[in-house]
Amino acid sequence: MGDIILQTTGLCHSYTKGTPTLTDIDLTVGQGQIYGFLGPNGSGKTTTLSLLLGLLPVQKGTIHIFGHDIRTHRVGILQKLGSLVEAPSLYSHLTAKENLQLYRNVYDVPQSRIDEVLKIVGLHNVTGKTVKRFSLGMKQRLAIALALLPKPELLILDEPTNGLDPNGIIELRELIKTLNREEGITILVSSHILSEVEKMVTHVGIIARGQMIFQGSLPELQGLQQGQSILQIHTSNNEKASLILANYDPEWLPETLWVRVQDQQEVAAINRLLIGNDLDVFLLQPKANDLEQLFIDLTNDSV
Amino acid sequence: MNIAVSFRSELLKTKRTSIWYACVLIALVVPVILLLDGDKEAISRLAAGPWQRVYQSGGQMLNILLLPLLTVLVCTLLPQLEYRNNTWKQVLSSPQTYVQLFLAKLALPLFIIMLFLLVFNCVLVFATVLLGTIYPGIRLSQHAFDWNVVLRFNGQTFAAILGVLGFQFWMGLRSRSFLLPIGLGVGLWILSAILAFEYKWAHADKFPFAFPFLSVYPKYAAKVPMMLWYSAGYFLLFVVLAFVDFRFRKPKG
Repeated sequence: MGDIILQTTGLCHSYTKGTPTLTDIDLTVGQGQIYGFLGPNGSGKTTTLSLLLGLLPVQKGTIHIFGHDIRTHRVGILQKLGSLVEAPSLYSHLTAKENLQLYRNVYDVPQSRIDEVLKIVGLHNVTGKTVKRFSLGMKQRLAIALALLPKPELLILDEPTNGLDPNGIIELRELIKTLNREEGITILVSSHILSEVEKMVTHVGIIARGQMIFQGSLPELQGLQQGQSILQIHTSNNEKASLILANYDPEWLPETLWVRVQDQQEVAAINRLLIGNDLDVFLLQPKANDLEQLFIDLTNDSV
Repeated sequence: MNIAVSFRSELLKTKRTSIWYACVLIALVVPVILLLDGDKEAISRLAAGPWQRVYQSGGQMLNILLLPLLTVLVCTLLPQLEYRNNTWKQVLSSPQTYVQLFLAKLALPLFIIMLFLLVFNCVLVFATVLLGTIYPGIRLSQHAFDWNVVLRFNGQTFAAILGVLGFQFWMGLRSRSFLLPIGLGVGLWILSAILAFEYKWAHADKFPFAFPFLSVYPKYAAKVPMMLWYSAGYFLLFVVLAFVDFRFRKPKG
C-alpha cells in the first residue's frame, strides 16, 4: 500500500448511551485506492462517513486524514476533501453554476474550475436551468462536480448510485474510475450492494452491525470466497458417497450432500473418486457463490 | 478564509427566493397607503410638518406590524433554504469554522433588515415627494428634509427589532419545520400586544416582542432608551444560545 491517506483507529460511536452504533472501526485507505465501503442498510456506513467529515464529534478512537487529526485540523482537512453525503445536497432554486459558485470562494478555487468540473461530469452545456428541473442523474452528477470543486485529494461518496438507473450507475462507475486514474484522486465510496462497486474498487471494507468484518484488497476478498465454495453432490448411493468423502466432512441436505472445496481441481478429484468407487454421479454442482453471495454470507454471519 | 467569504456564499443562496419579494412588497405598504390616503384632513396634517408626519405615521405601522412580521418571516425562510434542500451536511462539511459559518448566517438577516429599512426610506421619501407634487398645499419645498428624524427613526427601529431577530434566528436555525418558528413568532407578537394593551402588564416593556411597538407608543416614550438596551441584551443572549445549540446539537437535515 502507498501512503496512508485516511486511517481510523478504534473508532466507536453511540447515538444513545449503551447502544453502540460503531465498535472499534479500524479503516485504512491508501493513496490512489478506490476503496469500497460496504455494508447492509443500518450497518453504520453513514455514521462512519459522518465522523470522517467532522459532522459528528469523535467520541472514542481517532481519525487521521492526510496525517492530521480531524479533531484539531478539521478545516484544513476539509479543504482538500470532496464529499457527497447521501442525497445530492443542492439548492434547487439555483442553476448548476450558481450552486458551484456558492462554494468557489469557500474552497478558494479560480472561476475557471467551475467550467472544468462541469465538463468532467458532462453538465457544461446545461445553462440557465435551475436544479429543480434536473433529473436525478443530473443532480447526482452536479453533486459530484461539487465534490470535485476543491481539486480534492480524497473523495468521499456515500451511496452515490442511490436512485440511479442502470445506465446512470455505469456512467458513474466509469466517472469514478476515470477520476482515480487520470486525476489521481483517492476515492472512498460506500454502498450496500457489492455488485455495484466490485467492478471499480481496488480495496474493500465490509461493515455489519457497526463492526468491520473484512478489510483488504479485492483479490483478498476473492481468496476468501474460494475457501468457502460449496459443492452439491447427488449420486446413485449418497450414503456410500458420504463415507467415501469422509475427509471432506460432508453434510446432508434432503436428497443431496454438500462439501466445502477450495478450487476446481478439487471438484474434479471428487468426481474421479466417486466414479472410481462405482457410483453414478447425477449432480456435481458448485453452489453459485459470487462476491455478492460472499458479502451476504459475511454480513449475515456477523449477525 | 474570512467571514466575508462565507457571507457572500450565504447571500448567493437567497437569489431568486421569495425573501426579496417579501422585502420589497412590505416596504411598499406604508408609502402606498400614504399615497392613497389623500383626503383633505390628511393633507392638512401633512402640511404642518410633512417629514416628521410621514415618519411618525409610517414608523408606527412599520414597528407595530410590518417589521416584526418581516423579521419572523426572514429568520424562518433563511434556514429553510438548508433544511428544504437537505444541504446542511454539505455546508457543515465545507472548510468553514463553526464560528465563521454561524456569524455569516447571523449577518444575513441583519443585512436584509438593514436593506429593507433602506428601501423603506427611499420609497417613503419618494412617496412624500410625489404627494408634495400632487398636493401643492403641503408646501414640501418649505420644509427641509430632517436628517435627525430619519436617523433617529432608523436607529431606534433597528435596535428595537434586535431582540425579536435574535430569538427568531435561534428558532429558525434549530427548527426543521417552517410553521413552528412562524407560529411561535406570530404567537409571541400577539401575546406581547395582549399583555401590553389588554392586561396592561407592568413588565410588558421587558418583553422583546413588545419593544418594536412600544417604542413608537407615546405612553412609553420615556422608556424607549431602556427598551433599546434590553433589546440589544436579548439579542446577545439569544445569539449565544443559538450558537451553543448550533455547535453542539446533533447534525441537522
